[in-house]
Amino acid sequence: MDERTASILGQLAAGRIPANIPTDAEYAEQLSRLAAYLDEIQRFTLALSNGDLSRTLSRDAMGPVAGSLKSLHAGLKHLTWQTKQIASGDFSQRVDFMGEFSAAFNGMVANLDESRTELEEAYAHMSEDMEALQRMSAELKESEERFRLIAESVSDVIWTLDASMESFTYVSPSIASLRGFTVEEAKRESFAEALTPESFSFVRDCLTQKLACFRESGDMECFSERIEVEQKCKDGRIIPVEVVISAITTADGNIKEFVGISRDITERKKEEEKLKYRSTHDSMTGLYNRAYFDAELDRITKGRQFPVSFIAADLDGLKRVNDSIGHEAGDRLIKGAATVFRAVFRGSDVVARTGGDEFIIILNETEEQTAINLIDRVRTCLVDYNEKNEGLPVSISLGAATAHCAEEIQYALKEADKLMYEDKVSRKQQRE
Amino acid sequence: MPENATRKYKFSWDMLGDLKAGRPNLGPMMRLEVYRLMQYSFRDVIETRHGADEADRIFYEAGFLAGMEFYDNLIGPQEDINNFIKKLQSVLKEMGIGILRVEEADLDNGRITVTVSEDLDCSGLPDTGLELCTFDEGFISALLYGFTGKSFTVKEVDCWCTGDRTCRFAAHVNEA
Ligand SMILES: [Zn+2]
Repeated sequence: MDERTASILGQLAAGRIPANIPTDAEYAEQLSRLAAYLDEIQRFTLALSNGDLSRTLSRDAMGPVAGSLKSLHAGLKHLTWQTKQIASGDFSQRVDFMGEFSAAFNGMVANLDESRTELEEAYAHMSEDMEALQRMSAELKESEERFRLIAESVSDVIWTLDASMESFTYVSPSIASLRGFTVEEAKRESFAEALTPESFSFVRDCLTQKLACFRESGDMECFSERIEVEQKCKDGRIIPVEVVISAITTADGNIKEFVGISRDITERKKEEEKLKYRSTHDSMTGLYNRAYFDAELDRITKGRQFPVSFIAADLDGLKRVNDSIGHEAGDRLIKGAATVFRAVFRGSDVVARTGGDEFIIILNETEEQTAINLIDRVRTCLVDYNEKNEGLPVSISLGAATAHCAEEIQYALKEADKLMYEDKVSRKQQRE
Repeated sequence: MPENATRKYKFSWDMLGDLKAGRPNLGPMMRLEVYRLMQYSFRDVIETRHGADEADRIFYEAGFLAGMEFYDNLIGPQEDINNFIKKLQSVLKEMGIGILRVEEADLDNGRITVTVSEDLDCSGLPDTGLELCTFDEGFISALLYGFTGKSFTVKEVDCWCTGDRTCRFAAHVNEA
């Protein structure tokens, strides 16, 4: 054999590709093909080992060696495709041609699948929770809207106050008709500014008490009581307002906010005043009535402010005038007497009409001499009155007595009455 | 086919027969040698009469016809490429036709490369250095047509008969 051919064969057998095959060497053509085949296989294997699957074997490279490499190439390409499928969510892909690797890979895919299922389940749960939350929030919104509609349509003012009792967190629009402020103005006011100073300290004490009651019992009933306060309006008026204050608590039982409803009670107060006046005053003269006199007497008896003087007064000839001239003339006499009394006595004296023609005046902390002087003043005033007023002259019999302690009151009253009667008799005698 | 010639056996799926009734004892299975015996004897006669190229064309066409029937009767319409491949893989394996693997499935660019291992037609045949599976080429082309409605040219690029361990088919869509 050609020595060159033998050397080249030796290189090929060692896996080396000969650099140069002389064309005139023995079996030169076959050697060249063998070298080319080995070169092709080497390049392909190198690409494959570098992870480059884009390179293919040339069509000339045939036979079992090339075939096995192509098989490996095909397997790796399929594996790549399968991995892409898995990445896009197809977890049913399994490898069945790579021995131990197949088991490991398939195990990984199964785990991925399981994790995804778990994730999906968790997500489904989360979605459910989310939906429930959204539903709740929608319901909350609805109930808030309902509350707003109610709050804004009633004439009472509904408001919320922070737990520190300092500022309002909500004030309903009817504040405008209650106090003349806009909602914004009202919310800018502090709780203290919204009330008169007396009312503020009253409400603060009240709330402190209620809170203490609530903390002890946990009972909302602690807040049920209505209180009356006074509030200043934008125009400076002070109006009476009835307030019901309740509390909103947090889940752990702390006070979150106070909720109040305020109502203008000006009209009610007026009615109450009227009723009170009627129950204590004589409608014809505007003087105190018998009931007020009795109550006042009771008060003095229990009190310690002595001396107290009483003046008993009796209108002369009222029955006769009523019977002979008529009630209108009699009423004029009664009103005349009242006018005189009003002119003489102070606001702190209690002038009461205790019967048809009877009056008693209570003079608190007054000595007997002063009472006697006052009787003289009544007489002077009467003369004056009768001079200025036409018609029948008003004539009054008077008597005064003084009590220096509670036990003397009944005696003093009787004494005043007795003196008044003596006065009546003596003046009757004078006229005759 | 010559004009006016009368058809004797136009293919239909029915021609596969009622195997339950027809083969109560032997069942639907037979030895693979018999399938190959028939295929290669056919091929021999056709090649002798019409030449190797024409034989290839005839086998490709026959494969296409078989593939169309196969798709209609055993695969059916599929939602997407992944479902199509999965279904195909399972039917091919179940019927012992071969193990289908995908190397590339880029329908957008009309390119698909698959391999069929343990192929019914060629796996284990002697290394002749020639790609043999023209029937499979037509068959795969028909399956792709069935799924996409587009015509594909399928070429076997590696075959057992060229020394490879698996048959590799490259398919390209034919531009309309
Ligand atoms: Zn083949």
